[in-house]
Amino acid sequence: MKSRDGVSVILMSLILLVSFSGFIITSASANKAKVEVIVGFVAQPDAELVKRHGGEIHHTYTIITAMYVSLPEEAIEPLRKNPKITYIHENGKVEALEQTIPWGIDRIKAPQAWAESTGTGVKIAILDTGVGPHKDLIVYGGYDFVNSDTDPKDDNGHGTHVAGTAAALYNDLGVVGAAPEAYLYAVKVLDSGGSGTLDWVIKGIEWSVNNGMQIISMSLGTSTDYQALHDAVDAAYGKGLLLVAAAGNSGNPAGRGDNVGYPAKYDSVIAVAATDQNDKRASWSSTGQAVELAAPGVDIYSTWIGDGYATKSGTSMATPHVSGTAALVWAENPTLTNAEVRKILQDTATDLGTAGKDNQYGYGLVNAQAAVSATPSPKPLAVSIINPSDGSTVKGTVIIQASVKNTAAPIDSVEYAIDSGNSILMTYNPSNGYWEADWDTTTIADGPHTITVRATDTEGNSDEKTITVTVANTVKTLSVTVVTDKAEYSRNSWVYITVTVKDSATGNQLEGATVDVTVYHPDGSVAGTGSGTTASDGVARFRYRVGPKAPTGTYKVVATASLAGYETGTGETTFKVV
Amino acid sequence: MRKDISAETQTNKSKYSVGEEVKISVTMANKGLNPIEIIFASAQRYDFIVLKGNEEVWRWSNDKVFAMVLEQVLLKPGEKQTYSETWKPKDAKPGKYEVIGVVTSRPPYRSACVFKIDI
Repeated sequence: MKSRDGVSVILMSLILLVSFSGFIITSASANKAKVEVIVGFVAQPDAELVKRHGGEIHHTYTIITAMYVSLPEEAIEPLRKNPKITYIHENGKVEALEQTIPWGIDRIKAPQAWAESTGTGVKIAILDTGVGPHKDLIVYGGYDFVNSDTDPKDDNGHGTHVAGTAAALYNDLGVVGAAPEAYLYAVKVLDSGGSGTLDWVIKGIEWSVNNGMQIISMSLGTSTDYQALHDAVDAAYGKGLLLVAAAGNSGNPAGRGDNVGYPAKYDSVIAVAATDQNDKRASWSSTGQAVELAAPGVDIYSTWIGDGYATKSGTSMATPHVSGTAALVWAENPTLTNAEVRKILQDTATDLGTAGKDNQYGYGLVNAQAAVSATPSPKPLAVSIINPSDGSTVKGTVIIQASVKNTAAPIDSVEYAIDSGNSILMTYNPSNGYWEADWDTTTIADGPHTITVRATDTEGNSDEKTITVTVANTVKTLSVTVVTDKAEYSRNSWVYITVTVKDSATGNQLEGATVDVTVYHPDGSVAGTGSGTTASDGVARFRYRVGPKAPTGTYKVVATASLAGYETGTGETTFKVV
Repeated sequence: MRKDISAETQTNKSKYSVGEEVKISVTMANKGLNPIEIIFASAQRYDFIVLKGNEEVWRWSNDKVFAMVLEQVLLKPGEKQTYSETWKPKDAKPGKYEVIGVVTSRPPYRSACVFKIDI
């Protein structure tokens, strides 16, 4: 059920929730046993009638014509038949049915977004201590890299808490997440103590890419910059995933300095700061240029292991508010790219702190209502080319991969074309959701070429994307010639060295090649080195000074040339000092 | 830095042979009369750094990431909390070493001790 007014706490009265389940007519020996019942009367509560049947009156209600009494069991049937009695209900157990909207979910205005989007089906990978099991969460899959098994259940609570903020179910119990119909996937990369290794995190990112996740939510961090982690997040972003991470809890009360952790600090990741109920940055929330969005992170109530609930604080808690909001936007328009979703979140955030983007709040407090409102309607078709990357160099057989999102009608065909050539059909690969085709790059000449992928649906809508790649199948080599101006030199003279670099195949002189020259003594020790770059004539000139005490004999000059697109080449020559 | 909190770092031995594992621990104690709330800014509770001279040869937290959640630990008067790890030295040369044990609370508490690796 979706209520625009929010969820009202439903506290059922005893009377309404009690169910009449019938009574057992017991044997005479149990005659004296009394049962607590609520007796309803047609006209007035009749105390005399109840007492005559051995009943004990505990309470006479004023708003209904009924009494709360203890009656001998055998008196119930006869009394129920009495024309003065309307009903006799057993005093049953009542549970309060209540779903809480945590203050943070309310603050980011997620309930106001739900009429338009609940994040249905958007896949969020929670990279954490595991998720659940929990009756207020559905986990659609995942993996446990800590224990190397397929059951990513949570042995800490942290992952379950974070998952609940992102996508706890909208029902009559527990809490509700920012995107209650998004699909949670549990990728366990943190152990029961909440620590993880780089290896597990990178594997978790890899799993997310390979299993079609759309959002990677990382409520974890380190203060060290690791190239491998940087490469992993960049690769995932390049594959179209949106990455969200905790900015870190290393901030100071003054809010100064750059103490954002990793992976949040990487450009390809959205760094999330934490705010409190006054929309103020938590004193410990990390600050810095990388902070992109802020979200509630102080005293956040959410799901916990053991079908429980807990209140926690940290940028860990702020992060899933953003992940869930991203899911709301992406469900509204699945044809958006990750960068487009990101921009919507930035542009619609409620500005906090100093005007504009700042180091404490980034673009401001994530605003789910504004974000979903600002999301443009999806195009009927949207093509994006996943592989190869625009601007890359390719050779051999390349698997062209495209992602096609359709929102109006089924996809009719997806084709690719090289330059202005023939269209070739691509096939759908259900294991990764991509349309694929093998392209043998050896069938065309080396150099720049365009790849265009075009998708059409059954209604005739179409979309296409074009990228440019450089084909480089032929290994190019450099021919390097080294000459000295004379064959023999005396001491105290200059040796003029000319290095010429050419393309071995074409014989063309090459400009801009880096040339490193080493001169060796007759005994093989290094006499001197130099570096230069070839000019437009393909030549780099050097000179070497033969000193006053230079040893006589045969010297060797070795030149190594390197140029992008070529294998390094070397050349050498000798000269004598007499 | 509070004076009623002490931190002590220890190794299980003072001398090790090359290749032997070094067990390190850091113990935080409440030396005062009142309970003290220790605040941690993440799931990380401690760190160990092994130095040879000025060179850092091992840091426990290398290649690790931590859940970004605040946690409070209450240390009753007289109560101690010990964290331990094992350093498995690879190609560590004989000589004098120093290990710094840190309880990574806010503020952190550090202490150091020395040990030797003999041939």
